[in-house]
Amino acid sequence: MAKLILKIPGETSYLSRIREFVLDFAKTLGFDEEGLGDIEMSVDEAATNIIRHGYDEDPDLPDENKVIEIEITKIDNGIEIAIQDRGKPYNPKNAPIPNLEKHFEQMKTHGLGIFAMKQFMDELEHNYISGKGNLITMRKYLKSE
Amino acid sequence: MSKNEFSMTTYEKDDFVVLVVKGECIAGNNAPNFGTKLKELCSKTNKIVIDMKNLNCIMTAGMGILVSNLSNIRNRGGDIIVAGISNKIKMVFEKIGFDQIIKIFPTVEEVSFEDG
Repeated sequence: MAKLILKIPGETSYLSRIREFVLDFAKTLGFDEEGLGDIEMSVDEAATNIIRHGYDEDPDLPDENKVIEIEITKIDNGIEIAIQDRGKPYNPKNAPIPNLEKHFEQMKTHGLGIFAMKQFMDELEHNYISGKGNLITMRKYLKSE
Repeated sequence: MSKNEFSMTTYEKDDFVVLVVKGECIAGNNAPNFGTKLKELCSKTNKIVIDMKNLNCIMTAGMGILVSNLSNIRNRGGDIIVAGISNKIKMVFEKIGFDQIIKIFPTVEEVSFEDG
């Protein structure tokens, strides 16, 4: 299997299905425990951001549009995960990476999800497709021996 | 246990309370329940151990709840300790730096609230 697509309601009760879908595929590609943990958290945080900020905070968006489409693809020596929403433009790449030391000193965790996506994945891209929504593309490569 | 099942039970051990969390993950769907339970325990006791040996992952929603309760309980001279985390959770904690702010023990039996 080189590519799989999951289209699922944008609700937190479906987060576990999203994680399972991506992890099952990543395991077949040979990611180790650390890589799987990185992928799991990045995907969950991306989906959670869409649900929390894209969908739950937009009362004008019809419920039938509150879906998340995830396309996972085997690429050379790694995995590509594309996550499409139908929300307003939001570019996680523009969000600042928190200074974790200061962040925790002040007992804050806001922004950790973005931190995970940026730091745990090797590549992160964002495109806003007019009339459709945000497309976040993340790639992670297998560690070379 | 289905992927969305999540349960929490408590028991007393020595001079602390153990919160046993069981489930696939603490994430956006169940973090509010986890937060309610932890807040309730924090209002009753100053020493809490969270047993995570039956937990596969914890997302930042769960870490946020730990951090906010840590702040409250430490202001009163108490603490929250986690025990039994998997290697996967440990690696995520280390990369995020979360292991620097919360005490981690391999098992509940090894937990000590003494020293820093």
